[in-house]
Amino acid sequence: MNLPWPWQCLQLDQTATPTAVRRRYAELLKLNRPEDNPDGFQQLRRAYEICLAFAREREAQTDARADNEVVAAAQCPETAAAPDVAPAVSEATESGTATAPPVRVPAQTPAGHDATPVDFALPALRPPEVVVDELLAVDADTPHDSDAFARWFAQCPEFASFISRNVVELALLHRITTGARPTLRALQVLGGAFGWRQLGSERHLLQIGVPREHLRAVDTALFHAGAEAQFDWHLATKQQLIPKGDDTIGVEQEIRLLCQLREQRDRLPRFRALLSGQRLVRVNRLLNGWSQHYGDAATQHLFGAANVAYWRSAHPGAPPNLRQSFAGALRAAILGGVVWLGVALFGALALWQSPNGDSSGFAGLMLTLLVIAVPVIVVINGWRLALHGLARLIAITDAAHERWRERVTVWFAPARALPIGIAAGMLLAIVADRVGGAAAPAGLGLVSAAAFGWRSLAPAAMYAAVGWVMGLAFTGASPTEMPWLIAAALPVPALWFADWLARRRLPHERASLRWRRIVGYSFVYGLLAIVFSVVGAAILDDALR
Amino acid sequence: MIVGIDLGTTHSLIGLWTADGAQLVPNALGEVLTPSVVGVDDGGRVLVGRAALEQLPLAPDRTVAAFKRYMGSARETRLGDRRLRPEELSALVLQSLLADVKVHTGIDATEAIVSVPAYFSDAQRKATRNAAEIAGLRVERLVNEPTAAALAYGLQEQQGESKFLVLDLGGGTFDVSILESFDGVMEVHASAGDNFLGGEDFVDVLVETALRDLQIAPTALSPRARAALRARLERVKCQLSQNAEVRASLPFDEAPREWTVSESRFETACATLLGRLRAPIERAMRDSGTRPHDLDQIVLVGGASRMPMVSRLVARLFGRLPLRHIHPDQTVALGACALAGMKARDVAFREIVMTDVCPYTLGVEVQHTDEHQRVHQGMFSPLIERNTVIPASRVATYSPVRDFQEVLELRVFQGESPEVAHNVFLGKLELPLPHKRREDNPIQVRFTYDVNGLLEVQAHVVATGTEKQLVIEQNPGLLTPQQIRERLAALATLKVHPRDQQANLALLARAARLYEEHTGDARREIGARLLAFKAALETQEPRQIEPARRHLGELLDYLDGEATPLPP
Repeated sequence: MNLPWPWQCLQLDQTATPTAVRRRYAELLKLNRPEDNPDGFQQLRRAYEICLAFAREREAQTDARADNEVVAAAQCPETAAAPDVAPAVSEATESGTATAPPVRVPAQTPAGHDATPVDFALPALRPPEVVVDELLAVDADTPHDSDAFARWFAQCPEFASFISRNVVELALLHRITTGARPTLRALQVLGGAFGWRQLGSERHLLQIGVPREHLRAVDTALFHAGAEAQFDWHLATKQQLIPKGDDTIGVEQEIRLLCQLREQRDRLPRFRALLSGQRLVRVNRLLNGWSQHYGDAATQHLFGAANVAYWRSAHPGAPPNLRQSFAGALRAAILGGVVWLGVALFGALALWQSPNGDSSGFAGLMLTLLVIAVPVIVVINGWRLALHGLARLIAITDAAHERWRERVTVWFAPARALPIGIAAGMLLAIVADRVGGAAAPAGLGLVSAAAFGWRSLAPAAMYAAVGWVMGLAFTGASPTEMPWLIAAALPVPALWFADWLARRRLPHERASLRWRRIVGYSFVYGLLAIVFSVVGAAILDDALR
Repeated sequence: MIVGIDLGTTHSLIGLWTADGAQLVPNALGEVLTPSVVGVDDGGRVLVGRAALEQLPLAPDRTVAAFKRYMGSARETRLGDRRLRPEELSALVLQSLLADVKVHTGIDATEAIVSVPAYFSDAQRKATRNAAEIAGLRVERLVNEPTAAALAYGLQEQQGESKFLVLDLGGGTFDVSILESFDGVMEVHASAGDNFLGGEDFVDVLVETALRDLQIAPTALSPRARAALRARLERVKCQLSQNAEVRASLPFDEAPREWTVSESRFETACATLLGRLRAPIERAMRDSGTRPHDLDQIVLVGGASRMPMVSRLVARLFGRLPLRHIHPDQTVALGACALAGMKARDVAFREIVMTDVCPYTLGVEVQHTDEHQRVHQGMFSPLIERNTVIPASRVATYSPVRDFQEVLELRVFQGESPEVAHNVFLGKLELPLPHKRREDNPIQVRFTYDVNGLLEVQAHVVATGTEKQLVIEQNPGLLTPQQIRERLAALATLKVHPRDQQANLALLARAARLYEEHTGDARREIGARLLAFKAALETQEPRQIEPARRHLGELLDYLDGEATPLPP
């Protein structure tokens, strides 16, 4: 006999009825008890499930064929074809209007389903539409009482009975598909009771009479209702998405930004919205935060999939693309324009103070500063541009980008960059002093230090430049005089040490960040104050003389 | 010898399978229900059962109840100068039950069938097994409470095919199971439940209602007064099952106050709890694809199902009245005994086989890329769906997220949500991977769920052939075998009152409680009889102790307003 495995296992024919399958299973089960022979039992169980499903399907087909014959004889195939609740959702999804579904309503307990005498009175049941109306009204009326809806739901007689609950559920699903939006709390209660959007909920929806082709629509509508309810809840309870501590923007502002994003979900943002780098980063952080808390699909639905993709692609951390590069370049151009305008104004002021290039006193100081500032800005920008360009060229794929970050970018973190920058800077300063004039060593030294530490070093380097030049002007000494060089370079290793200490002593990232800020900035600002007092003294000294 | 044990939230029972069928073993007080309460008396000795329950209102800081709710967690309870885990407290109760069996039959029981709520998770089941181990018992099998109850009802003996629903509302847990029997096969189709819903929650509602009526702030009560009030209202709850209205004098710090509550009022106050009762029933019906009229019988089990509102709820749901045993709180234990008989291959059970299901969906965390190339992280990939017949073993093949990934972290979850964030984390497994592209590097994961409802996870790296097994015992809520041995040794040092004193101890504690609750003549009378009883105890002569005990007991029964604090 050449039978498929399950039937061989049960030693049955493929034409066996469900009853026969079950009987044979019961017989074999006594020989393969689950606690004594787990493997044998599992095989038997699988064979049994397959055979039983097959036998039931066969039986159902035979029944259907018999039914069709009867129906054909009665010449009214339409009425028997679909269950009478089926149009409820189909109408809903297609026409989009809130017409009452033609659902048959059991006004009283349906007769003939139960023969057991019941010794208490069943409450009279209302039409499902009325129940759904009441449900939505109760939900909308009690926004602050978190238990009111659950209480109402527990007491509503239509939901308390298996006889009417499916019809009401269907009406409710219809209403949600056509745009009704219960609150999050109501959805949680309802979802828990009906098992919406749990694993296997399709089976339940099919069972209560949702047509197979509308399953997806109902599921999507439930998901949308959930996501929107979540949004309302988020706003109402003022949840914070961006964690406190680093670059937080405050709940109020977060909510304002989220509302804006939600209002504009149907049209793409204008390109000029990308010109504010701060806004771009904030929007991206909010969108990512939302995805983390409530899921990516909810973010896409709430803020528009196209919009979310637009904002994400424009973020500097995204894989390279035209929009991002263009917006970045434009932002850089604007920023650069402002900086260079400032430099030009400063230069003009200096020339106006000392038209003949006199290099003594206050005017001379300004000229020297200009001479140093220009190469510093040029090199820092050039270096950053080169680095980014290189990243774009080399790190095209995501993985390559990550590798780049792992292998290259780490060298520019303060812990590694500062010692290298300082060493290189000193070396360059000594070489330049041997070769060139007064400003050359200072400029080159700072440039190299700044280039290597452009992230957190910028304030320190600028301070070092100012302090050193001021010192030179004040004493009128030669540029290679050691005490001033040391004084100028002092905050740089100090900062580096503070940074190292913070990382070593405080494992908690956020605490360490705060500590680094406090220590680092107080250091920088304190020393800056000293320097400015020195500068003030110099100017005063110059004026008095 | 195999014993059957029902380790409940409020009461525990033990029994045997004898030639006359299942037989429950009474404790030292002659009751089959031993309260699952553990306490320490003034002398630092451990009290278990009725004596500890009576001590609860007087010394809430030295007495613990309802610790089954914390099974599977690392929570420790202070008891006198010791800190005990829920496993150890359960072990103390188990030891007291075993002592009863020893006295009754003269044999030391070493193997047991222990019943657990069907909706207990993996960690909770393992904790129950560990508790038995600490008590020196080997657990032959963990059986789900509704399944045991169905067995006790002899529902499998019905001719032909029948399908029924068992609702088990115990002291702290609620379980729903849909079972079918045909040709001697008992098959569970679906299980659902709520591990934090039981008779205790109904008492809480009654306490709240009383405090609101008498306009007393819940925070104004001392822990002691609260425990006393709770104990009194617990009895009021039981009385409400028989009477439509109960008038009770509630003990408060200053003076007792009269309070009247009707059954219908109680039901209204419990609306939310009743709503929570409905959800698991609905889910079990949905999961098994059962329509209400497919069910032949609806069975109520568990002490809390005595409340009329529960049967009314079921009647409303199904349009018919449920079936209830005369002792709903003993049914599960009787079923466990029957299973013990089955295990010992008693003749009566040669023709019966039971199959059970796992109550939760079990799976691993995956990353999923959809048709729009969007990456969804933290998704749940189920391996064993809930209500799969156990024992079950399923294999699925996964691949690493990235090319040349070095380590794969396999995280195992239990729950029904498509996102792991909403599911319960069970444990994780780290697999070193060979240096390969992701498509050439499949990993086979096998989940095996055994007949006791315990999970085993195996991961197999196909390319290298390495295999790794997940020991979920690493869960912080569970004890390691080493710890179990340590706790076993530590427990042996505890001083427990000898069994023959238990009845007297319970009576003394009860008298002390009533002495506190009453004033005036009643108090004087209790004091007098208590002294007489203590004097009789001093003589150590049973002939004197017995009448004094009866004398005191009669008065206490009268004052409590009913024959026994709990219906039999």
